Amino acid sequence: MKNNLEELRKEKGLKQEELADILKVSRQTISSLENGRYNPSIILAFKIAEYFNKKIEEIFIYEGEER
Amino acid sequence: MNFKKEQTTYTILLIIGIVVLIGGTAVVKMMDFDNLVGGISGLGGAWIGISGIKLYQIKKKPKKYEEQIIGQYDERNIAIRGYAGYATFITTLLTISIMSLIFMFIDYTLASIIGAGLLLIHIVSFLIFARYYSKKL
Repeated sequence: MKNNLEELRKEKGLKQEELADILKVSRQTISSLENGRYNPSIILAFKIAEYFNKKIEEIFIYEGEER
Repeated sequence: MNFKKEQTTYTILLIIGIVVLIGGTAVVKMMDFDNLVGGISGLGGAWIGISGIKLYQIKKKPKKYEEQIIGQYDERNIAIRGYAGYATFITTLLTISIMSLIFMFIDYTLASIIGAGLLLIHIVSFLIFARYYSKKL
C-alpha cells in the first residue's frame, strides 16, 4: 500500500522521531510506514489521519493485495 | 505520559521482594531448610533489583522509560514478535523432530522418547494457544 506520509510529515516540518513521539509509536515504525514496508493497523491509520486532519484514503492508497 | 500505575506496581513488587528476601530467608532458616536459602534470597533479590531499576528509570529517566514502553506496545514490534515467534516454533519443531530421529537411529531410546514427548507438548501447546486466541480475536 502506497502512502504520502513522508510528504505530510515534511510539510509539517517534523522529524521521524517527533512524529513517532506524537503518535506513540517507535521511529522505526514511521520509517517502515514511509517506505511502504509496513501497513498500519486501522487504529494507527485513524490516528495518523486525525493528526494530519485528513481522511485515511487521502494518506493511504490501496492498490489491491500484494502477495 | 503518566506512570502512576507502573510506579504503584513496582513499589508493591519492591516491598514483596524485601519481605521475601528478609522474611522468607529467616523462615526457611528457622525451619532448617538451608538449601532453600539461596533460592529464596535470589528470588527476593531479583524482584528488588528489577523493581528498583524500573522505579529509578521512572523517577530519573522518564523519557527513556517512556521509549521502552512505546517500544513494548508498538504495533510493528508486536507484529515482528509474532512472525519471529512463529518462525521459532517451526524451527524448534524441526530441530526436535530431527534430534528424536537421530537418537532413535543410534539406539538412545530414552532420549528419543523424551524428544517425542517434547514434540507433543510443543504441538499441543500451540493448538491450545491457537484455540484460545481464535476465541479471543
